[in-house]
Amino acid sequence: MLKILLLTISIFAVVFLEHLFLKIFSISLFALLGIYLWHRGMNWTYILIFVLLGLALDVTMHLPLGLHTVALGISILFAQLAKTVIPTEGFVHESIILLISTLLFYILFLVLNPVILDFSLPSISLKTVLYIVIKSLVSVLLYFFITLSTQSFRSKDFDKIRLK
Amino acid sequence: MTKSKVELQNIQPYILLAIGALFVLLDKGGFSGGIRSSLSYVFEPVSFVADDTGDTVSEWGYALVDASSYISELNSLKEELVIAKSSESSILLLQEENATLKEQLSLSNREDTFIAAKVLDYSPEGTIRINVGEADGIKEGDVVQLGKVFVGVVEQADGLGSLVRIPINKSSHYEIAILPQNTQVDEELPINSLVKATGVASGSVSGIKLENIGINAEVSDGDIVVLRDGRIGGILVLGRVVGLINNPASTSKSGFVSPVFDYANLITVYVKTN
Repeated sequence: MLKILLLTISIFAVVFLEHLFLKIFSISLFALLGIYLWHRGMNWTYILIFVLLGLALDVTMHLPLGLHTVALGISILFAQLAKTVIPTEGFVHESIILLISTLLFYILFLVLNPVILDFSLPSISLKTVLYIVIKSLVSVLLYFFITLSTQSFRSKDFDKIRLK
Repeated sequence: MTKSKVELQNIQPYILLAIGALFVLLDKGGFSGGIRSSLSYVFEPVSFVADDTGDTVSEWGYALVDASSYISELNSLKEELVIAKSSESSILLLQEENATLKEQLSLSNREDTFIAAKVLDYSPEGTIRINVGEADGIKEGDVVQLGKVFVGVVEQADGLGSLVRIPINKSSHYEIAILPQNTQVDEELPINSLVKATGVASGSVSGIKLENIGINAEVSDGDIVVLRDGRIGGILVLGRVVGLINNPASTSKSGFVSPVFDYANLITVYVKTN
């Protein structure tokens, strides 16, 4: 029961934060969270939550239904294919895969909307590509900042409870 | 990670893709009304609060960056206030001019129903978001205008907000008529006797393109471009002709439209709902 309550509150929080981050930094928390949690290895709940989140964001941004879900699915598929080629044990390798996955998400987001609505491709200038690359870099930095923070937060407790 | 978890991790992207594609097809087929309205009812209030908060934070950020320009603007405004207070007669003239402009800008057709909307967001790809939606009687295809000037067409209407496609959008194509420079555009205008040429206005990266104008048409820069499209209804101004290209080797003329105003600076627009 508590888990369901926490999940419900989290969904609302993610919708709020996604709009807030997009307004202030133009960064998609949905993409970052989706790729991060997939990488951690979640269960069926992951699919249900991210489909619902994707649909909610599609409606609040007045986009075609399914756009966020399809973009996330393709980005994660790419990350999965990349993992078979690039080993993910190292910090550099993991960051490269994450960077290209988030870059792909932003490009797909830009391209899929006019394709689904009007069957036309948008014009992508060099300025737009540069903007997307910068957003992806900032997203990756944010991802590692959060990962390192959570790891350092946990490491102090683990040292204390280790049995000899 | 256990074997089953690894297998699940491997098929998750395919499941997400399949579910996403299913919802895209449902939306395109027009079967998503119930889903959109229920999600809109639950989540749009949250998104509006977040957008408002984000706007406030962004404005504070811009204010910090432009602090020095705000100080010089404040000083110049103080000077202007002194000049304005000391000359009351010029203020009276301005009030009368304001009243005349309001009368000129008022809509002549009183039978149409309009809903005022605030512009929440502008996208360089050629869309704006407004704060009225299905709950206010807005539906896809409704025309958005400001006075007699065309702003766009509602592309997607949800519970509390809508997406409007403006003329610079690549998917915008409208039939237009070109009128002489000094024409006063209103509903009683005998447009057929004044039309210099017809053509098509299409959105593009470089602006609103004019195409298919007759090679012999006496069109010049500065002429007024009005929409004469069955989907829009009525006569609405798009802008003025600029950059006219007269290529003798071509079978038609082309050019661009300079919009009446910058769509990025819009604050209030009106949606025609009848």
